[in-house]
Amino acid sequence: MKLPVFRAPAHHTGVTSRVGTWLGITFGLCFVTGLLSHGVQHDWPWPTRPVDLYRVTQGVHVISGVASIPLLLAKLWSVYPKLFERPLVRSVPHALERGSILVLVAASFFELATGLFNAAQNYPWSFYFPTTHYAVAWIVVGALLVHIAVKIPRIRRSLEPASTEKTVLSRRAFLRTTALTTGVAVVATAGVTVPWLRKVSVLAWRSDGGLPVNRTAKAANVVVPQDWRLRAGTKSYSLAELQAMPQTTVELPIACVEGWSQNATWTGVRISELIDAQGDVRVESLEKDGLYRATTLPEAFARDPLTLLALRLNGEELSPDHGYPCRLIAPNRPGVLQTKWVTSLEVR
Amino acid sequence: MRIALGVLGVALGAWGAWLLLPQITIELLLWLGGGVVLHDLVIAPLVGASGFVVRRPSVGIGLVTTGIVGILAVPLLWREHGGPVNPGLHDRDYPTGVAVVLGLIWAAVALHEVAAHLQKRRRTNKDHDVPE
Repeated sequence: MKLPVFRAPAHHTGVTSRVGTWLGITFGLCFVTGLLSHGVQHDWPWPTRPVDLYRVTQGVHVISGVASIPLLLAKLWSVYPKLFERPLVRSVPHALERGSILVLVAASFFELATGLFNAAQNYPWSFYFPTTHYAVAWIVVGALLVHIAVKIPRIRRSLEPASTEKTVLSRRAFLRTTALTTGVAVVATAGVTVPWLRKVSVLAWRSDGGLPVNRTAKAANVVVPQDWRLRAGTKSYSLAELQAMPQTTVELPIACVEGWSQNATWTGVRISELIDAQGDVRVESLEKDGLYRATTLPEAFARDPLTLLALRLNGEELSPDHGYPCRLIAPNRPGVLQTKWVTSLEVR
Repeated sequence: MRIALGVLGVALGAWGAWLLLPQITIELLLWLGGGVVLHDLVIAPLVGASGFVVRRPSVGIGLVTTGIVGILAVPLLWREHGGPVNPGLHDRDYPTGVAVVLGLIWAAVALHEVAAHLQKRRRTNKDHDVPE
């Protein structure tokens, strides 16, 4: 069998190292922000300020993931000739190195593909996304560190200016094309979280309307009873009683784990005025089931003057889909933890 | 330094594998391996083949960008397993959006080619000018 010959400048080590460096940056951002998001949802310590922190970290997570798609493809195209190297394995270390690369590539594709589908809330699989995406992320990072450790001398050599003197133009052209397609991919999607790109990002998984709804009242099967009252510790309040209490207005974002985010103006009663949070507060919803039917609001958030039991959104009474009769809104938390249709608050 | 990095990498990877172990199913393994197979046997050969067919760099850039936009659009256009469309989420007109982006990309390619052609013609005309 005659093996293909690759002579294009895209396959030069200098190109591989550069695209690899860019990919290392986007993967690094993706991993760190993903780990933070995992931590917020697993009761790791997390600050209440800045209020937009989670919005930024999760936006970076999703955008760096999108940017990694063209970068990974460019990187793999750059090293594609190595797939045809013979003999397949020369030695035990060589076999281990190739094996680690196979793991790295497989795990990377898995992360980018499942992440992209999840952002679009599209699940053509039956395994549970958050835990698999989380586990495979560690495999990517591990295999990537091994890969870097193996390649450090080559990376160093290839990034020296002297090695890129010949056919510089066409190598640059490949790098420029990579940068351009990455830019197109980012601009086409970043509107999910960057307001001024919202109209331009035609592939954003949210539209340019008002505050998106992730789960409608109908989907959550929520029915508000006629005699609904909020239980807060030992006390209880009707909606009219809540409306008669001192109202606070705050501007806070809903920042979803799927990357989209939007600021809104919320009016309601401070959680700290409803319950004396000498500990974490358990927030329960009228939802019958679902992973986020009940959430834990850490003490620091429960005491925060910006944390409200919101009754109004952008000046109007909450609609059923936004959590009528009342919902939690706290600074710097993922959207899934901003519990809607709240029915009880309890210090744990 | 390199050894420390390698050892750390093996440890982190092993931790991930440990977390993944109880979740492994045939389907998960197919998703893990599917990307590699799809890339090595379909995407990369297509890119290689296009390199033989396409001679103009701008057309190549247009094709690559089209491919990336196409990949990003898959979960938005193929929604057989998609969640319900919610108010404000996944409710854009994606087919039109994709068509507009591709239209812009190929308009840019065409403009670039026309400009390059005109420039070339002007240069050849200049070459034919007889100095007085």
